[in-house]
Amino acid sequence: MKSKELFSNNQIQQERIVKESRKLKKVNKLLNLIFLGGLTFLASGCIGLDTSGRFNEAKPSFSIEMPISKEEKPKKKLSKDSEREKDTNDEKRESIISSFREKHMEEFQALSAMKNKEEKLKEVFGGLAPNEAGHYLVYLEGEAVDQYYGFDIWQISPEMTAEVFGLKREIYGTQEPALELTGLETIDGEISPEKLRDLIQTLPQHWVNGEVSSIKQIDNKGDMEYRDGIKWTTVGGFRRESNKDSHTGQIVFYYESRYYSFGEIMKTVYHEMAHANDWDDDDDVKYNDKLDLLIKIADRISAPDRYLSEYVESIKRDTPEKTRYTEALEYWAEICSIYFSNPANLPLPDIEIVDWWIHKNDQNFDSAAQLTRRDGLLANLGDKASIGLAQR
Amino acid sequence: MKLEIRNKNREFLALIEINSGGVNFIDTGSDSSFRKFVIGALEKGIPEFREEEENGIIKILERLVIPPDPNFPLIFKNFIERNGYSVLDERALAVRKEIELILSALPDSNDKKLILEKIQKLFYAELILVLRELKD
Repeated sequence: MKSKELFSNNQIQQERIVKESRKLKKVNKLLNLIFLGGLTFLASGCIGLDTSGRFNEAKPSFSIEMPISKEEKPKKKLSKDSEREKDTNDEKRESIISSFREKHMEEFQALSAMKNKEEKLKEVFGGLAPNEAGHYLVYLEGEAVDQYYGFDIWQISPEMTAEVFGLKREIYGTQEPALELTGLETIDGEISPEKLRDLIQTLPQHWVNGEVSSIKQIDNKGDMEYRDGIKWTTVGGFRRESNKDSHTGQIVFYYESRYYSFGEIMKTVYHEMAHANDWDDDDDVKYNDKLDLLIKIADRISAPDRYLSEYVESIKRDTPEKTRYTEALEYWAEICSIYFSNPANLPLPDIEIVDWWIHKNDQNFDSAAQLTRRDGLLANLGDKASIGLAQR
Repeated sequence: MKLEIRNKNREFLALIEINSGGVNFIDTGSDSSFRKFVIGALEKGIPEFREEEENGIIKILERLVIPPDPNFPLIFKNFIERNGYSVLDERALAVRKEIELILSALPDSNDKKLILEKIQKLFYAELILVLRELKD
């Protein structure tokens, strides 16, 4: 009996050693891949990963109450005859509404799923959370009622449909103005417009085309102001136009930006471009995906392993919801700018999120290859002696 | 805040400790050009950035920070990141320690030796990936 037990223990131990050895070999293979491809491997492994956890997409619900406001509901005094008439009408009404729902089943399903996501976001961001699906759902329910009463109150505009089911690009048109660039002077030298264009071409093209129309450095000096005895200088700005003719952003750097390094100025460009490609502004991504992005970022801003940005960490607004929403906007812009400049400094979940978002539209974008190209371009920019502005 | 600084080729440059009063180089073997970069930057002041929205325009604001300043540690960390350096903060160093601890419980082998060598050059995201695999 004892020798049997001993044999069994030896077997277990042997199996454990084999298992551990296999695991070590696997880890070693992983490390070889990392050293071989660096972040190429990381990035390609990231696509499709989900940051589920706190925010689980709830199952779509179909128990939608039809909201009929008092103004729209016909007011009648009911006699016995009219009560009978009402019963028949109720049946007729239900039948019309239910056939409307059946006809629009897919829309109702999709909207309910999106509305659930909006509700989750509302818990974090309060009234600042997006509410397009909930709004659309009210209109769709209204249309169902209209079918019965023969009203034409709840009209869904093509803009609303495009906003929720399509792309903002459909509202604002497809014009993609050529990117206007000036040279950028830095303490490291000058980035000529041609070199800046080369650098921009290393970014995912959906992030640039139709999202940002100009990057300029101008001679104007930025405003200065003192707050609590501290001098703050405006060194640049980002203007986003939102109208039928134009829905692109313009990045401007003022004179003071000439004291920045290549790295600093390009990080600012990436940061502002990220704003043009967030859940609020991106014209090329569907609303449902935008909700997913905001859910992922909402999760990250309070994660213990989040990327530590002094700017994001110090954000304070007059309500907790406003603070959290601003943190989300700026956290997104910060992790994008690190992703494009030096992703080694990002926690893995953030690399995964940015990578997932980029590949929504730029499926063939090779993050690591473009990073290497970008680094190469930045290493060979300008004549360092030509500027001589190292000291302010 | 303790930071290990590396260049993009994963070469060790310095181990520094940052507090509100400034930067201390812990390791005497730190890279001289990085040390020069830090000293030069501290003399000029470290840029800190904010954004403010006004009439649909996001204004980019900057101030120059010279220690002592309560926000200096993160401001400085972000500054060296913007300038192309790779930074491993205490969380990354803790992940590396955790990997070492898991490995120490395993019998010696060539694979273990190689892993222990290689993890010294990994960045935060990569360390997390290795830890995930080891715990799997």
